[in-house]
Amino acid sequence: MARRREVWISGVGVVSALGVGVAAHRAALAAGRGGINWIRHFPSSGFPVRIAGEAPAAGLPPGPGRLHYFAAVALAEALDQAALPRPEGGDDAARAVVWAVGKPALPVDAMAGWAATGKGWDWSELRRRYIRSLQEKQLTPADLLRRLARAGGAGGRRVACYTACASGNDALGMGKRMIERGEAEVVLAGGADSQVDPLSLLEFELLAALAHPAPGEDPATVCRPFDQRRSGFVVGEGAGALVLESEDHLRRRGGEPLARLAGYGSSLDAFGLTKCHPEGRGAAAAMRAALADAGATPTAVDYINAHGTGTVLNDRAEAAAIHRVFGAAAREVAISSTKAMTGHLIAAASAVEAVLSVLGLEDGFIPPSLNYRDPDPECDLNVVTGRGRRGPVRMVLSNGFGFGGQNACVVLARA
Amino acid sequence: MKAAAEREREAVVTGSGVLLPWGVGPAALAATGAAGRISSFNPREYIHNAKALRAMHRGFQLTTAAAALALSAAGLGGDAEGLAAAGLDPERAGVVIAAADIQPVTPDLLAVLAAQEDSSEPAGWGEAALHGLHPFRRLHLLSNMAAAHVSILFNFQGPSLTLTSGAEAGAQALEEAAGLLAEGRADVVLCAASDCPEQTLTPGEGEAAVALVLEARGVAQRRGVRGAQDWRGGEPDASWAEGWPQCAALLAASRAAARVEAG
Repeated sequence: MARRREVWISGVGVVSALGVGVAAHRAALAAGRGGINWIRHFPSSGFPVRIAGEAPAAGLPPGPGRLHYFAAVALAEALDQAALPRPEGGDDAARAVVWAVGKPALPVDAMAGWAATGKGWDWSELRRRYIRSLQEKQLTPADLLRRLARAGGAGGRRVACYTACASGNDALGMGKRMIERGEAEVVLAGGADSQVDPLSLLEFELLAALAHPAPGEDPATVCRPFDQRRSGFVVGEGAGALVLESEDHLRRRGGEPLARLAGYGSSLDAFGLTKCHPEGRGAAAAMRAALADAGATPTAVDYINAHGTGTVLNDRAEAAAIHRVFGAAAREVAISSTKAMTGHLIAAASAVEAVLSVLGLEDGFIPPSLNYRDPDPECDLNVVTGRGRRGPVRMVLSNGFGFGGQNACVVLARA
Repeated sequence: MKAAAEREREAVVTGSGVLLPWGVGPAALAATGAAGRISSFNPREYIHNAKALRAMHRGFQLTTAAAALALSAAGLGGDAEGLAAAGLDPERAGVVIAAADIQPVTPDLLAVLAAQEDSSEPAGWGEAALHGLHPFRRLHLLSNMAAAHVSILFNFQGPSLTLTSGAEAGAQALEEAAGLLAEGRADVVLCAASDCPEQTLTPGEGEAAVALVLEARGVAQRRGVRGAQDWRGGEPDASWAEGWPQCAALLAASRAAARVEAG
């Protein structure tokens, strides 16, 4: 059987609460400096949700435009780093786009304006205006794909996916498989999301998923993955972009690899819509599948970038799943959740975490899990704290688990 | 010449389920009629779990109903035991869905906003919304919930994707499903889509739902499936499937598998 084509990463770009670009993220990770703060981009005084991981968004208001902006910024950085030549004679059919696209935010203030100037709170009228506004402003997922493809000279397939909080890893996995099947030489992969708009925040609050600051508490300390005091997640926003490239293509053009996308696995809990399987059945299956796809055993993993949202049940289930897969090594392998710093970027979460994992592989650095102080006996893991840890990082397992029991994991390896 | 192993992993259709405005099941594929709502649709006929049903947007109900029909046609039962009873491993059973974005402009939201003096600023309506919005609102709106419902009701624990690419999503979903089988990541994949515009329909717009059970040829043979069909070669018939952007490609594949001529 022919050897499977290897998939390399030749460029990364990122926007999150930690800033714009790889350099800003490196600096924040090394300093153990989080980006969760009071909400500023809409008047949040008196609103039931007060904190988020807001990303710099050039003054864009809450609404569907933010994720499109983040995607464009992150991809531009990744393309710049990959230094892909512009294709000659039009877009390259061997370049594809696979992107995790968040749920478009509904701008309630705009709708209030429509109601005031139209037929009032009429359902079909407002629904029509909302759809028309998305189409006119070209803010559908297909519009995003088209713009990203144009930016990268991609004339191949354009795929958008949504698998809740696992979306980013599923986009990476689809891109990887496309290159392995020989359908593409280059895949512009990633994810973008912005759920820090008022309505989306309330939807999470209704599911009792969010952490809130106690009176006088610093918002940056509220998200505490794997800590006994954890009480939920904090919503973040932004985008992560990765240029995936076949090994042959990268070598032929003399490009430099940053890392290798070695494995991908996906699974379903088949258990609950909001609650994950308590013993992490599906999560374990996705981790095993990703490791098997990478041809790696758990002992080869130096670092787990956890899904680690900071909710009581999720973190416990993830810990249980890691114990299922890693056995005794579950207490040894270094783990952290960067969501304590970035917030939970939902559909973009695992794309951003893949970028941060690539930085870890490049730099020999395991980022810290912020706000971890009181170990939870039910999350018996080797959580990295403080300023992180320096040392060789050869292989990273990055987890993404979402509503609906969606699980997707990727394995990234040093170039 | 294809290697035998490769042929074993090729996708074949072992069952399909369709709901169209003029009928349900294989006969509807051969007929034509006016686009519109599937007015005869009674979700309880297909989904026996009342709790699950309550958490389902109509589009998810339609997708899940199509899935139930397809699974029955494939001899995989219509419940959580069907896969195992047929000797298939739930962990190797995947779900791939083509989905349109779901409308967040809902009556419960509008009712909350209309009752406020000032809904231009979040503080003016935020607290009221916590009491007035459906607590599971988010679960009605997430595109991947069709996959989640199918997975829970029929015990599919394998790989899963929900594609939201627009008009290309249906064709891509079929390719991804076939890819999961070819790569050995799954033995059986339920591939489904629905179109469900919620408001007054514009002419040509309508509801539809379709699901295909794809299996690796070798897997289907070993469990004794007869009449498994190729799904390729079903060109979406523009005039017939117009108004069903999500379903068009899967309907064409269902017709190809059933060897139905466009009506």
